[in-house]
Amino acid sequence: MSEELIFHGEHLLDVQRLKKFFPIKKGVFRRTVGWVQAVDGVSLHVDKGETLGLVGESGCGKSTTGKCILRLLEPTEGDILLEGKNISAINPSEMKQFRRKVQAVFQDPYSSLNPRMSVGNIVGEPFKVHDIHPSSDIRERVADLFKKVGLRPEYMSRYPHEFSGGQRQRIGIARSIALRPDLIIFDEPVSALDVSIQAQVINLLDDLKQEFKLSYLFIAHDLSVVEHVSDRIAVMYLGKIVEVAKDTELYSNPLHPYTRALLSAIPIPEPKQKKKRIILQGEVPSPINPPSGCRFHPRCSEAMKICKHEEPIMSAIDHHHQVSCFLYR
Amino acid sequence: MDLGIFPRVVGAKKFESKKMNDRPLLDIRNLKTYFFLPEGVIKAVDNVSFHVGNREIVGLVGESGCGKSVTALSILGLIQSPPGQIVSGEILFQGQDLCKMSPEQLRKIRGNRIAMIFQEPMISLNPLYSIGDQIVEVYTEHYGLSRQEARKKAKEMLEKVQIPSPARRIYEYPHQLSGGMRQRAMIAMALACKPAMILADEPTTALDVTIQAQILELMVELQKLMGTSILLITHNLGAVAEYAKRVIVMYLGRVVEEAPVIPIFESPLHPYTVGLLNSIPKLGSKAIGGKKRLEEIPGMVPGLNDLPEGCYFHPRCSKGREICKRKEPKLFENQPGHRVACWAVREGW
Repeated sequence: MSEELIFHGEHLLDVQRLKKFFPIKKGVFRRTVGWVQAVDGVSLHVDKGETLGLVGESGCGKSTTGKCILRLLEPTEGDILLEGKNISAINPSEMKQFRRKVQAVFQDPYSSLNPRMSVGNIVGEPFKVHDIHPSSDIRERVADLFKKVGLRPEYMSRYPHEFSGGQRQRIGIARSIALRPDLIIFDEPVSALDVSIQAQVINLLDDLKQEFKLSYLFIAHDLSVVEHVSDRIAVMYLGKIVEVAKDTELYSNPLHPYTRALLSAIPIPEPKQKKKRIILQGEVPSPINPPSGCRFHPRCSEAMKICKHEEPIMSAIDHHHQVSCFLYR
Repeated sequence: MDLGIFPRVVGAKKFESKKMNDRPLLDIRNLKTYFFLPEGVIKAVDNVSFHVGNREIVGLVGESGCGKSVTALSILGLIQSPPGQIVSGEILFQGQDLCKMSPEQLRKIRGNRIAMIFQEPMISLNPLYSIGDQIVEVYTEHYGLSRQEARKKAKEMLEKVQIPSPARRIYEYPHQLSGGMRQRAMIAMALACKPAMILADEPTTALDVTIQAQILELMVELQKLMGTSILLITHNLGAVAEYAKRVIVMYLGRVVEEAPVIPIFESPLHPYTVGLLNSIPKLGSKAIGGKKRLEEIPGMVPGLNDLPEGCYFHPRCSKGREICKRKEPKLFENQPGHRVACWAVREGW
């Protein structure tokens, strides 16, 4: 709540108290016996020209958040505003406009490209769906896009299986920028790639962002990559955002005990620098039955009495740094 | 064990090993593992030599397709044949050549003296047997213990790898455990026989960061306790920097550089190693030096069926010259313990 007091003006994307619960069904009559609370009250925003990184471990709800924003999943509760317009309740023709403005690139470049279509057709399809260029023009447009993402236009008539993982990811990126969207949601775009290819794709994303004035929501688990690409970073744990900060601030001054543990757990390629590691005990609890109070308290080394009973709310440390922890109240 | 029946190393070697104080636990010499496919011969491991000392943790790094996993499988004699075959070379483990052993002899070593931890514990654990049964099998198979004794040992082992309530977990099946727990169970199984050596092939790649840290710490702790050597095969340079003593870098089936961990990270010589290190974003570097563009290695890893002549890296190398296109550079020792296969380093251009 306190977030809204600080940030005024219009954000490109504004997500407010987003919830997504999945029913657990059992028995012959498929009765709902419980809920997986995948995303539980997430608020975030992305400004124009900004990259917001969303990090967390598997099962924390970061991908579900992305899918809800894309409306690939119907949110259980909460509002999603794009340029101030609530997209939770829009009609199909408005939906098509929305799809033009918000694009997505997913982790697995193998399963997100139709194996029966040539890559030229894959990248050109958005033009057809949205009826933007006359079909005679499309080939040229696609060739342009190919050059932009560093692929040879001669490859247009080839099929996805003829490309390596990195090239496929480039094809996915070409498709996502075809319609000149405002926002692209990346869900683990580089985690399936080799290190040297990863750097190429990250640099490409930087270049495209500059050239087309894009905004990114960058969902990933690798904090080093997220830190590199993002302007601001939101850390998620078990369906909730626990800390939001500017990229450098999050690294130099992490506040939430979970963020600190996460940062300390990452091995860095500097053998002389032995860092003090906070080893978290146990594992991420199930989102079906999340712990009471602060969801991190059973693993937190600094848990207090209040953490068990009361849920902490986001409070602002300063303009660019918010944390949801009782230590800072 | 039956180690005694094998002849010890002879003559000159013996002298050499005395001089070296101890011979390496694992010594791979000119190993070539090829796959004979209808499309042609794939040289997955091509003339690879390196060693792993007693109680040493050695990191084997490289990108996918560089032959690091095939190297591990070759050590264990697990190359599927056909199409794969160890064409030539020696894999000396405690002085005996594993390549020359019969499948029965290898079986006694595998799991007993050399254990393996794979990336995906869900695939490497049998879903039809409980965790306990699978560890029990190790004891009954290799030590000939009765099931009851083995079960007691298995329980101890689960305790050692810090699986909570082992008495209950022992009856659980792999699907009932989380990824981190499964990997712990794998480690328990791997360490059950107190092996001299563990081959860990991407042991933490499928795990979350915080769990990854737990597992690596656990592995190193147990390594110290039991005096095991570890060959840590991974693409995670951070993990290697932190835990390995020595690092071997592979590219397309060949070793391109080998050095102790500090020189590898602080003064790498091979352009591929340099490129690899520069292409990873470093946590916190933005806070110090602002946002910099990542350095890229241009182009991509060529397919193993379409290898360039000469140095395999030359099409992507900024230092490449005429000779690199024609002649394969051999590994040479640039400084004690620091070997590199590069014309530019050798000739000093």
